[in-house]
Amino acid sequence: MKVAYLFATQGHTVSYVLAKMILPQLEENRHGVDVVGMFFFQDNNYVLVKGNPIGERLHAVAKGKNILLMGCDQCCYEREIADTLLDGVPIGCFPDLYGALATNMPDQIITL
Amino acid sequence: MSDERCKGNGCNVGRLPTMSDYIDRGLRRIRRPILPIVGAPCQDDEGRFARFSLRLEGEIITEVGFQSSPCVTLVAYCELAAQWVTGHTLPAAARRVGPFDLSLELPQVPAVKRDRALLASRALFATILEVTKEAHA
Repeated sequence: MKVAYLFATQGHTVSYVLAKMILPQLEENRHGVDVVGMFFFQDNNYVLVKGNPIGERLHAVAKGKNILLMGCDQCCYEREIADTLLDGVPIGCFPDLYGALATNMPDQIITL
Repeated sequence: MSDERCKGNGCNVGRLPTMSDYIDRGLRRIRRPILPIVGAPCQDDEGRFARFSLRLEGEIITEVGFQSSPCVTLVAYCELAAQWVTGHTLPAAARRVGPFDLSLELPQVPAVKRDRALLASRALFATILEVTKEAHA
């Protein structure tokens, strides 16, 4: 099964759910499904900034597994981080996300 | 405190508007009524569109409106263009708002989204052309 994750809530979503559950499982090839994309809202976009240790690990995994990483454009502009994201990580809105996933469509989209 | 209020208090020191400011102001401007002089809508290859409208007093552009696709980068470029040409004559406005000028002003926009500056610029030029045509008709 293919899934895409939308990181929409804050709190421990990135530092715990992503960094301590999803990411280690992906790194160890035991997540159980194919992740085709991750989209980040609000402060969750800070994980995509160059130099962020979680983001750098995620970026490496995403490259190896062909996982789309995308930040919400308006969220990134508001936080003035749009030009500081990890190399090759785009920003966009729903049309960009759906367009980017169109060639590798997930079976489930999971909002976290 | 907004730039305007700050200047109003005699301070003259205002922070530079951010990308987010242009988006917020642009999204408000989009909701305003369309102005009397309406330009032709311009579209890009991916279906995004922009269309400007103007109000002139003599030769001076006193008010600018626009409608566009909801892409926030495009909205920001259109808002920037609208701000830049308000208070100028049509020839001055045409000189002022080129796509490179717009993209240089907002360097934080990623390279793949800078084509929106071209669309905003083309749409504004189309409106200026409309006025010029009418004036010469």
